[in-house]
Amino acid sequence: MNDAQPLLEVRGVGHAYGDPSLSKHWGCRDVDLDLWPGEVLAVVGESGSGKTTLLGALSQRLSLTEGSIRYQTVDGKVVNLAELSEAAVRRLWRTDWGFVHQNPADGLRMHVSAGGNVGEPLMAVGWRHYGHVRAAAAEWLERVEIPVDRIDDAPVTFSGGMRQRLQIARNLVVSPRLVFMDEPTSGLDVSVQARLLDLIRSLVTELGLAVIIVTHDLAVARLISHRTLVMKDGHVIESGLTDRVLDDPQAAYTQLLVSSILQG
Amino acid sequence: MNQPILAVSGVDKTFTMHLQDGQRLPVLHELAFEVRAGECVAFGGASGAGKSSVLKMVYGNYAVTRGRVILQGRGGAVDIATAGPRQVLAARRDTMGYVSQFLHCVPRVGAVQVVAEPLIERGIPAPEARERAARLLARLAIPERLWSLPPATFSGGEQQRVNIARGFITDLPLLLLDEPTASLDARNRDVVTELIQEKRAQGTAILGIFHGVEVRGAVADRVVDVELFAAVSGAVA
Repeated sequence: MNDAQPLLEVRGVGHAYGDPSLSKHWGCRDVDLDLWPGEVLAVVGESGSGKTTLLGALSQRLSLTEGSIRYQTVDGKVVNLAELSEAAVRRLWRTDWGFVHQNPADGLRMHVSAGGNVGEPLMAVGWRHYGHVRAAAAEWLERVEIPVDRIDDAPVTFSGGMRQRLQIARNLVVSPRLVFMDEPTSGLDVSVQARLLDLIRSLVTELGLAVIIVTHDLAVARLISHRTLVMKDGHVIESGLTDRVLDDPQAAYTQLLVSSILQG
Repeated sequence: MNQPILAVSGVDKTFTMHLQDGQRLPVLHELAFEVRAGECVAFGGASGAGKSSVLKMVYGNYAVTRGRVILQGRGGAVDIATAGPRQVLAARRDTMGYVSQFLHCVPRVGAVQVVAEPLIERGIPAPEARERAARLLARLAIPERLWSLPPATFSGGEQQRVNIARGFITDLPLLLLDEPTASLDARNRDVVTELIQEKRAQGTAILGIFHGVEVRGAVADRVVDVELFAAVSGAVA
């Protein structure tokens, strides 16, 4: 891995909804960003600001209407994501990338055992020995603080916080290099949220993950991200070091967001 | 040959309050000072003069409206006023530490770990880091029974001492201190004064705001009066 190169180089990215030959509605537009290995980037803004559209476009779940995304692969080559074959993109999803959904049911197989949910990605990259897969799954359940004696239970029997921790284990078990997270804590109670955030924070540091996390919660951005992008009406209106953006916001909209936080 | 570790020159700071019709609030104008290795520089000036704002600009936490904030790191000089986020983070890792007035608590993390973290992040093995953290906590009179508990439930003075331990555990060329002794009793104030003097003796440059002339007199070589650099305030058309 080459630390002198960004993992992700995003230039002029935009995604338009609807028929492009008719009038376009831009979900996000003109987005430039670099993401470096081990860096956590928060994308904040209110609902409708385009942050989830941006995450979709970056993670190849939505097409790019404009712009380019370059990605540094594990062997140090820089590829243009738009030029990769579907098979190559699928391979990236199996080995290099993870996606943590807001609703764990979107990222888990709800009626498959917890062990199966964590073991499946390993089998997809060629693990064959059942005992090894089960041992690795048990180790990951422990890391995300799920009692190992629940390994044979399906997530449909788990609490919201446990489901979300299981989704994180399922994503991290193959040691990805880049993880996208879409509001991973927003459906949870405050105490469960704090525990999950602390878990994400320590795993990210330990594993040196690069993360792009979308959140409407500025406290989440402050706790786990190095840098923050503020979005409004599909555009990035301010970006920088997270504590600088939150403590000395320059844009009018960021000042409004920061001043709207309830003091606990 | 003794190059300043920190050289601030021509610095202005103006806050623009967009929520108050874009009202501009100039605080500092043409601020300039230097801090060298082993030197302790204290800020003077009334509350509201912008002392904390200067520390925050040096740390990259506040934007610099105009001017230069040159920080001499091991790998060369960087202008914090214009540096990108990654350069500022690198400077915080390798060159400057900051002790704020309050501990920003990380939920669920015990006090020893909170104090040891800056060392662990810099590659010191965890057992050694925790051992050094424990020694500092003991020196700052945090009872051993509290060490494994998260500081969120501690008293204000205890939290501040955990915060000081976390800030003093690393050996960085520049240490920024924002009223480190404000909520401490006399005994702990003396311990912090000693810690500052030890850092200076090791060659650390210190820039700080000190609560009370007694501590300031004991640690500071010079005082920079921030009020001399006050921007013309009042009605700004």
